[in-house]
Amino acid sequence: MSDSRTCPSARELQHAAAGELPDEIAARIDAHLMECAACAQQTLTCGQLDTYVQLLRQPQAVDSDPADERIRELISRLLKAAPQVHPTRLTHNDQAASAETLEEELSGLLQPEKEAGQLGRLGEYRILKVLGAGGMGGVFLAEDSQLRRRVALKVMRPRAAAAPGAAERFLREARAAAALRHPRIITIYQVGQAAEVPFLAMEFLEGETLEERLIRQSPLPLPDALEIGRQIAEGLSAAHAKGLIHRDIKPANIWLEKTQSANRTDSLAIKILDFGLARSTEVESQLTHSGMILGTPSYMAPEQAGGEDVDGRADLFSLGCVLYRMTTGKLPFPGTKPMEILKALATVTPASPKALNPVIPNTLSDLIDQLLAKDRQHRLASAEEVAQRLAGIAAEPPRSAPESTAADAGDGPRGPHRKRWMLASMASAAVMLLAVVWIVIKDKDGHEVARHQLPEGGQAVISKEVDAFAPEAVSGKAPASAAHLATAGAESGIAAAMSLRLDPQLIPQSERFDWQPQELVAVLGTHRMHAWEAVNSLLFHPRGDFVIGFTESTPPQAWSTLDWTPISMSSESLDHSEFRSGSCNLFSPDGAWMVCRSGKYAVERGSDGQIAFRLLGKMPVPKFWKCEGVLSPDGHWMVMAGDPIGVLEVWDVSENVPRLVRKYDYPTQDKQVPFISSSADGRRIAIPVLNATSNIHEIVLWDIDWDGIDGPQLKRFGEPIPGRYVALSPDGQRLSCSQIDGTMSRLLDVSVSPPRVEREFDSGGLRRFSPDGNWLAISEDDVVIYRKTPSGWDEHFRLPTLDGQNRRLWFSPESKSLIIGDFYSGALHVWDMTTNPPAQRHPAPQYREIAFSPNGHWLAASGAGSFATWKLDSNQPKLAVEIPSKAYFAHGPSFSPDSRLVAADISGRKRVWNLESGTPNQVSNEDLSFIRFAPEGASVQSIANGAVVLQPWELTGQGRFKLKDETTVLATGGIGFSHGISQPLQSIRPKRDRYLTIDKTGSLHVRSLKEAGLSLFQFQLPDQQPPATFTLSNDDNLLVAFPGVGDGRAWDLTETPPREYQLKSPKTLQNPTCCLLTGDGNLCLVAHSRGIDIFDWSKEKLVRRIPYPGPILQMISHPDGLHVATANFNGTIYILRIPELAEHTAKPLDSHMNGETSSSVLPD
Amino acid sequence: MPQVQLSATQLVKSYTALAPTGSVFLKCDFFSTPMLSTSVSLLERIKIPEDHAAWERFVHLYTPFLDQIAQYLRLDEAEAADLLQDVFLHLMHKLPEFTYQPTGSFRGWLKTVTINKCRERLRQRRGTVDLNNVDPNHLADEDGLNAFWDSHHAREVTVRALRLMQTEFQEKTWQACWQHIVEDRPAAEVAEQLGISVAAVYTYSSRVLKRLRQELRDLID
Repeated sequence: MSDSRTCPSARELQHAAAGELPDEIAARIDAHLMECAACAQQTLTCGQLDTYVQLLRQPQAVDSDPADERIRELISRLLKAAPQVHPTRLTHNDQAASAETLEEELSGLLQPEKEAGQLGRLGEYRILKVLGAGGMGGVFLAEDSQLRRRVALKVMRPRAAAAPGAAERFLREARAAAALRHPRIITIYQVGQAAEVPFLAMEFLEGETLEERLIRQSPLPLPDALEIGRQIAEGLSAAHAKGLIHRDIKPANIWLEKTQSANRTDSLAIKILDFGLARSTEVESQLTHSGMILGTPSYMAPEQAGGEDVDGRADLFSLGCVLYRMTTGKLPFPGTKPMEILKALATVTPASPKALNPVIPNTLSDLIDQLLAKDRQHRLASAEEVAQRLAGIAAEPPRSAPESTAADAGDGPRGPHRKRWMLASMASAAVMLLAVVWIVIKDKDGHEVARHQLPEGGQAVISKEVDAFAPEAVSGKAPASAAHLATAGAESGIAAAMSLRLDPQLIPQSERFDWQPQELVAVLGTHRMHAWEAVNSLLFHPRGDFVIGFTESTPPQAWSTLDWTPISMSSESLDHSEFRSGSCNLFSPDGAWMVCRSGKYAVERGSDGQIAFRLLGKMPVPKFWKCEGVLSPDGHWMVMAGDPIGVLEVWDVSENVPRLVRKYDYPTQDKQVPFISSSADGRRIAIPVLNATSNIHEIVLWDIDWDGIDGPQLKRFGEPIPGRYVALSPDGQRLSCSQIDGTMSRLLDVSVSPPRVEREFDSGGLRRFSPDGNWLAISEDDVVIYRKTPSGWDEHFRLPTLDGQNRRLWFSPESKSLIIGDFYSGALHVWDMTTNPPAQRHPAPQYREIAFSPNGHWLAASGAGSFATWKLDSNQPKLAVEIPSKAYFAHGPSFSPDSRLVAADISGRKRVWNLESGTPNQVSNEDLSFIRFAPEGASVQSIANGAVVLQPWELTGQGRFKLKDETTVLATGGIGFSHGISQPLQSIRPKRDRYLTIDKTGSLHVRSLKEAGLSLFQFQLPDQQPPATFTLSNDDNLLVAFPGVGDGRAWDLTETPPREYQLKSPKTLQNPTCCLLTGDGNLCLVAHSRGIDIFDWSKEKLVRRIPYPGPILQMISHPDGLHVATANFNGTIYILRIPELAEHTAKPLDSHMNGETSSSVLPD
Repeated sequence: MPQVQLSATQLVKSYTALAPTGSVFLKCDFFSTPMLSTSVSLLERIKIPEDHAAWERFVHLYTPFLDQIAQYLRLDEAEAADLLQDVFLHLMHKLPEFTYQPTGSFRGWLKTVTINKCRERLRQRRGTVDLNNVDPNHLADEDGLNAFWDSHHAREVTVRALRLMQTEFQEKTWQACWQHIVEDRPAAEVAEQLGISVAAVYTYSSRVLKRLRQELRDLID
C-alpha cells in the first residue's frame, strides 16, 4: 500500500511522536502513518518514545497483573483508608408529569397583562405575584383595581376546578367562610368566579405561618405556645358557633401576624387561614360522600380519617396536635406515608408531652393528652373551654425543677470526699435557654479543666448536689431549637452527679429516627457536620437559612446556617449524578427555584423543614464533564461555562424548560478548570482555563451584558491573566489570582485594561472575596485574611488550619462567617468573622471507630478530628476526655481486658491512658508501636505471614505504660490489617481455640488456634463473593458471614458437614460493615448501608430492620448484651437499646472482667 | 472493600460510556477524568486536591510496585498493606506542599519516602519479634533496596500504567502495543494476529506510548 503524499521528515515525525504538532498536521501525519510502515516504525523508535520502548522491552522481573487478587484487595483497602464513600446512587425519579406549575396552568386563563410588573388579570384583580401553590390551587398577591387594595387571591387550579362539582364546592365553602367575621379568622372580601376559575379574595397579611415559625424554632417557648393555642381555640370557637368546622387545622393554616414587637407574647396575633375545607354542618352535601378523605393526615382526628361525620371536636383534636408540636417539637403521630400516619392515628397513643419536654406543666400536658383522645367523647366539649383552660395554664406560676432530677443525681457512687457545687443561675431547671450551653468545669483554683458543649437537642439538668468545681454557663449564639435543661457534673469521683439526659425526641430535625425512639439511648458527637467526602462547593440559599454542600461523588447535604445542624433534603426528582459539585448548581435570586445542568427545579421547604426539589423542566443534558455558571440578576438568563473545551453557553432559564440561546467558544482550544468567580451582579466572570498551546493556566475575563437585545451578550475583557486560582471582587473591579504552585499571587485592578498590579502576595492558592467586599481570604499555609482599608489590603489574621493548602473557602452571604472546607477530613470549619480575632465555631469531630470497655463502663471513639472517651455512668455517657486531632485521623480505640487502660493512635502517635482514677491519664511514651489490647492482657500486633503476636505489657512504678521485650506467636494464617480496619482482629475470640481468616479467593477459614492455624472448615459465599463481614459465635459453633451485596449465610459448625442457613432480607442488603451475634448466639445483627437487620438465623427469618438515616461504619455490642453502639456515616455515635436482645443476653462463655461483672450501666 | 470495587467498576463504565468507539484522544476531557486527560500528567493532577480520580489512579498505578518492595523486604500481607498505607498517606499529606519542582525530584522524593517508611516498619518489627522467616541481615540491606528500586521502578510502573490504560483504547490498538512492545513480538506477527497492517501496529503502538508518556511525565522520564 502506498501513499500519494510524501513521507514526513524525521523531524516532523519526532514532533508528532511528542504530540507537539497542530491538530490538522498531526491528523495528516497520523493518516500517513497508517499507510506507511517505515514512517510508523521510525516514529516508534525516535527519541521521544524510545525510552518507553526500551523500558517496556526489559525482561519482566515480577509481573504485576492488575487482575491479581492480592493487588486488587490492597488497592481497595488503601482507597478505603482514604476518606471515600460511594453510596449507592439514588434512582432518578422522573416527575415531569407533576411539574406543571400553577402559573403555567393559569396562563391561558389570565387576561393579558396591562402593565409591567404584573402577571395578568383575573376579574377585577391585577395579579402581582405567586405567594404559594398547592395541589388544588394557589394564592396570588393581587390588587383590587377598584379599591386599590392589596389582597391575597386564592385561586383554584383550572384542572382541579374541572372535576365535577369541585368548583361548586369551592365556592360554597368559601361563601360559608366569608360569613365569618372574627379577629382570629382571616377576613374574606369576595368570592367569585372569573374565566371559569373560582377564586376568593382575602385580606393580605404580613408575617409568617406557624409552620414557618416552627421550622425556625421548635419547640416554641411555652408562653408563645400557650398564647397561640388559646387564640386558635378562640377562633375555632367562633366558627363552631356558626356551625362551621375547619377540618384542616395545622400549623400551615395558622398565620402569625407581623406586629411591631413580634417577640413579645402580648403582641402575638394569629389568624386562622383556609377554611377551604370547612363546610356547614347543617347542609350536608353529596359532594364529600365519595369517601375521599380531606385534610392533612398528621393533624387529622381519627373519626375524620375514618370518613365519619365530624363535628367541632375534630378541630379540637387537630388543635391538640398543633399544641403537641409547638410544645415538644414533634408530631404526635409521625410518619412519612399517609397510610402510616392514618394507622397511627387509630392505634398509637403518643407519649405525653411532658415526657418529651419536662418544661411542660402537667396541666398543659394533660390537656393535650385529652385533646388527642381517640374517642371524641373524651375530648373537651368545646373550643371555648380549651381557650379558657389554656389561659388558666398561662397564668400558673412557673414550675420548679422536675423531680426526676434529684433522683438522677443520686445514682452512682458517692465518695465521702464529695463536695457540693451549685450553679446559681441555672438552679431552676425549668429555665428555657435559647442559647448554646457550654458546661465549663473549673477546678478549685479556677482553672478550666473541662469544657463541653451540650449537643443540639441535649438537655442538661443542674443537679442539686454537685462537687466543688464551679461550672460556668457561657451562652453564645442562639440555636434554632430546643430548650436545654442544665446538668453538670465533674470529673473523678463524682461522675454520677452529671446526668446529661439527651432526649431523642429533641434531636435536630433532620435526624428523624424511624425506629422506636426509646431505643435510642444516646447520641454522641456534635451532629453538626455531615461532610464525609470533601465539600467542593457550597451553595447558600439566597433567602433561606440553609446551605447546600456538594461533593464530587456523594449526594449533597444541607445544613442550617444558623447552627450548622443538618437539614434533610428530599430530592427524588433530582438526577443525583447531575447534582454534584461542578454541575452548575445555582439558586434563583429569590430562591424559589434552582437550576443545575440537568434541569430546573422548584425549591420547597416541607412542613417538617425538609428541603424538597421538584422538577420543573429538564434540560437537554450537555455532555459536559463539569460546568459552572452564573445567573442574571433577574434570574432570567444563565451563562454556563464548561466542557467540551472552553465553551460558554447562554441559557434562557425563565421558562420551566431552560433553552439554549447561543454559544461562545474560547478563541483557542483552552479548557476550563474549576472554580470560576463572578462579580455580585453577574456582569463579569473570571474563568480559569488551561491554555492548550502554552499549557499554562490563565484567567479569562468576560463581561456580560444581561440586557442586550436578543439576550445576554458576552464580550472578552482584556488579555488573559496568568493564574489558576481566581477571585473576583463583588464589584468586579479587583481580581486576585495565583498560579497553581502559589506563585504570581497578586491583586489586580481590572477596571482598567491592561490590569494594574496593586499588590503581590508571597504565595497563595484558592481565594475568595467576601460578598461585602471587605475581606479577602487566601489559602496559604494558613488561611490569611486580608481586610480592606482605605490604604489597601492589610493582613488581618491568620487562621491556623490543618492540612496545608488543601481547602475550600466560602463566605456566608452576609459576610459574617468564613467556612473552610477541609479537603482531607471533609469537615467544614466555620469561623465567625464578626469577632476580632475571628473565632472558630463548631469544630466537628467525626467518629468512625468505637469500642466499649470490657466492663461496660467506658466508650471510646476515634475519627477525623478527635479521639474521645466517655464514661457511661448514670443515664448518659459523659465525655471524659476529648483530644482534638489536628491531623488526618485518630485510630482504633482499644481497651485493656481489665478496662483500666485505653489506647489509640492520634495523629500517628500511639498513646495509652489510664482510666482508673475516672479521669483519663496519659501513661504512654511517644514511641510506641501500634497497640491493640488482646484478651490475654498483652498487646496484639499482626506480624509476618499473618501471625498474631502477643507482647506483654506492664505499668512501671511511675505508672507508665511499658511493653515487655518478649513475644508469643498466637496464630498464623493471614489475619489482615493491624489498623484502619478492625474487623479481622475482632475475629480472634478470647480464650477460644478458633479464629477466622479469609483467603485470597474470598473463602472463609475457621482455623484452630491450638493446632497452629489448621483450617478446620472452609466456606464460600454464593457467587464467589468475598465476605464483607463475618463473625463467630461466643461458643465458636456458629459462623455468620455477609457478602458486599446480597444475602448472608450462617453455618452451624456442630453438625457434620456444617449446616447452612440463609439470611435473607426482603430488601437487598448492601455494604454490610459489621455483624454481631447475641450472647446466646441465637440472633444475628448486621449493620449495613440502610440500618441494622436482626436475624433469627435458625429460622432463616428477618426479625426486624432498624432503619437509619445513613450508613453505619461500625457496630459494637455493649457487654451487657442489651445495647449496641454504632459509628455512623454522619460522624456521630448512637447508642441503642434493642428490645429484641433482652431475651438473648447470655453472658459470654469466657469473661475477662477480672472479677468485675459487666452490668448494665445504661438506662432501660 | 466491595464498595470500592463496585465504584471502580462504575468509574470504568462511565469512562467507557463517555468514550465513543475509536476515539483515542477524547475531546470531552476535563479536570477530573483520569483517563481522558490528554495533556496534563498524572503527577500534575495529583497535586490538584479536587482531583480525587487522579489520586485513585495514582494508587492503582503504584500499589503493585510498592507491593513488590514489600515483598522484597519479605513483609507479609498485613505489613505490606500497612507500609503502603503509610506511604500513600504521607504522600497525600505532603503532596500539596510539594509544589512544582524540577523534573525528577518527585521520583527521588517518592523513593526517599518509601525507604523511610520501610525503615520505620522494619525498626518496629525488629523491636518486637524475631520470627524464623525473617532474615534481619536482609532487612538491613538498604543498599539492596535502593538497587531494587532503581532497577525495577521505571519498568514496573510503566507496565502497570500501560495495563491501566487498556480500557482507554480500542482493544486492537492496545493489543498492538502490548504484543509488539511489551511482549516484543515482531510487528508482522502481531499484525497478522490482529488482522491489521504492519504500519498500524507501529502507529497504534506509538499512539499508546504517546499517551503513556504524557501520563507518566516526571514520574518516569
